[in-house]
Amino acid sequence: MPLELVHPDWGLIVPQLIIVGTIIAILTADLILPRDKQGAVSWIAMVGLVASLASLLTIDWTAGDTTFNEMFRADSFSLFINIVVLAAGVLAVMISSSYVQSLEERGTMPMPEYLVLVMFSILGAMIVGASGDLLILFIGIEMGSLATYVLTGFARRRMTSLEGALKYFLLGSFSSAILVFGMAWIYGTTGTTSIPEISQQVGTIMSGEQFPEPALLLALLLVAIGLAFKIAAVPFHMWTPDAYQGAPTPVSAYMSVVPKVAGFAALVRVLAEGLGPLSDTWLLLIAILAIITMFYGNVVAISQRDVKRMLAYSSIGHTGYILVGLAAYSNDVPIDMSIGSVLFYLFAYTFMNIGAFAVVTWLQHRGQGVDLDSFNGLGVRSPLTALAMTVFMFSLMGVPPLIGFYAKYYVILAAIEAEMIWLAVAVVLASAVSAFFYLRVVVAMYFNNPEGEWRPQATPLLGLGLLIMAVGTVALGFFSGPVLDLAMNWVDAFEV
Amino acid sequence: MLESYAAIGMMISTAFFMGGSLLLLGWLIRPSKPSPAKEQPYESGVPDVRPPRGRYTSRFYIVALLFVIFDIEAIFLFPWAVAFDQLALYGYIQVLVFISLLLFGLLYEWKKGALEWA
Amino acid sequence: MNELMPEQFMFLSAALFIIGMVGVLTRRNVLVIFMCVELMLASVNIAFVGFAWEFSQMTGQIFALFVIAIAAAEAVIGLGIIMALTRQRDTVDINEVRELRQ
Repeated sequence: MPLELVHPDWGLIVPQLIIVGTIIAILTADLILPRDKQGAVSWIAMVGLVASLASLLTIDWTAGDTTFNEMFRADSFSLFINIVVLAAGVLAVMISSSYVQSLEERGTMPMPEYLVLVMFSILGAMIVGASGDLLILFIGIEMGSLATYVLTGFARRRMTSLEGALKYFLLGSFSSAILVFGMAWIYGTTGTTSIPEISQQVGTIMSGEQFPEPALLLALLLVAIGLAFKIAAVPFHMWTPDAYQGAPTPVSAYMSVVPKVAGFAALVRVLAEGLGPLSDTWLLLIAILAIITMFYGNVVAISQRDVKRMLAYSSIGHTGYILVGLAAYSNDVPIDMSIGSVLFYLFAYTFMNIGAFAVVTWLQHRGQGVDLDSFNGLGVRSPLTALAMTVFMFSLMGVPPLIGFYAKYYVILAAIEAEMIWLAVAVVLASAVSAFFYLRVVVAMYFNNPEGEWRPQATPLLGLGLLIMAVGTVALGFFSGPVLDLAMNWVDAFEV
Repeated sequence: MLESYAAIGMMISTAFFMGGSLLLLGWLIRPSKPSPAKEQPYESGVPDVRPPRGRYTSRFYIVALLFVIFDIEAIFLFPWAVAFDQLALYGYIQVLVFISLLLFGLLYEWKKGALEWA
Repeated sequence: MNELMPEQFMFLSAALFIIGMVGVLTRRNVLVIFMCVELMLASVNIAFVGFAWEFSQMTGQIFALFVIAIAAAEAVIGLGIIMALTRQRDTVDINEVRELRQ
């Protein structure tokens, strides 16, 4: 049997190749540079990420081109995922470089290794967004997860960091095994691993007499559970609070966004696109998951004193809101809002959530802890930082006209468009609950007296990152139109 | 079909019977008088001062971990080797790129001192 | 009797998967939990190869190769974390690793 070698279109994977090149450059710099000059590698990472962002412009995303035997796709969906992930990467590098160098027992966290792991995780998420095949999707998810496990335990002298990493790793690898077993059964029932072909095959199976085929339902369930672990949906969230609390704070910021984006990208690719014809079966499942997740996350967050742990539960709550957008999906009549609102939410969430963790990092630089009392009197000590934190808290709560409000608004619109009024009501109720613990931070900042030692320190890059995120949270709220238009283009991507 | 397994079956059952009956016989006829001195790993030697499962130096683990990584990457060479003729030069170059990435990884850990034994 | 049936692969793989899953959920030793995860991944490989054999395709076999490679990477990272943990405290019992608030 002669092999037909198809020469891949390398032009379509330039953004990913740039990241790979950056990783090699950072590793080489690690070998060449002396130990005290290694801070410079964060600039290599920044340049690489920005170059990758710029290279997105060289590709025509509307054409929906594919390469590597349709395993890799350059469509509008992958464009949006790339933008979110790369932006999160730039912000994560900005807020972490000073932390990695000066906190956590100075010198135990080598900067180049840290950045390489961050870049690998970004690459994994980008691959998931662009995947047209279960194999590529799985590789992308694992590449992202494996790097994040190590990042969680990066403060390797601190027991809590290692404990978080261990729990994250054990549950993460467990969920990967469940996910890939589900993929095996999808392959077994459809005879293909290509996502568009799976969609066709499932459509054929559905129109046949043997409905619903039990093996297909099993596969659906396994894949949904596996990915629910990755996005931290209740009841598969057990690792989240420990991992977020234990990890170094910039890593918590980073892992609350990028792996979640990768998880949602995979959910959309597999459920909405591959198993789209089965949507009647999984929509209810996702809707129930969404409700449990948003209420559990927000209610438990109320009782937390540790801010990182509180933000972990709040991020579980946000997973619930985003799932509402997915639950509004419909295979028959494409509802533009559904996946569009998921994408827009992920974009908004990137700015406000990394921002909130960045403020915690900022406080840690000034000798403060991570519990609620550290925020006491921040309004007096540093009015600008307090203002930024207020913006992030209000945005996470969903106060107009900040970006978080629009994100929730579009999710609610999607739910109403899909005639799931109860889901829309649930989002509003859960947001009302969440106001309680977000406002508590604001109250602590402005109404409590400062206490504890305060060590001023210059952190220019972190400050710049905070500024960008705070301005972005406000400005993108006012000008959410273009971003939303971009998010709505997902519809083109799915017309295979 | 089944007959050919019969011989093997008899062989296995005989083996189990032999081994089992000898163990049973020994257990029945030998005297059993345990004492603390007899329980020691080296009955007539120097009393042991630390637990027998001592800690190995962590270098063993690191080398083992590195071995696992490079060992498994070799599986990607097998499909290439099988289809070597059809893949021709283009496949050869691709594999060279793959191996050079692995080589870079090896250089990295060498330079980082992960392979130092002393 | 001589014929291999696809169902045989499926039953073997499902049985191994469930054994691994029960092991993960009931065991307390980190290393044993980890071995059970590896067992689950091995069962996935059996399923893939079995399906590939049933369809006379290569896809499933290639997928299995990648699962093996990823499982190895996962093993190395997991053992690395466990090694770092045992250096800090000499235990592999998951119930003794609890400093974070439950």
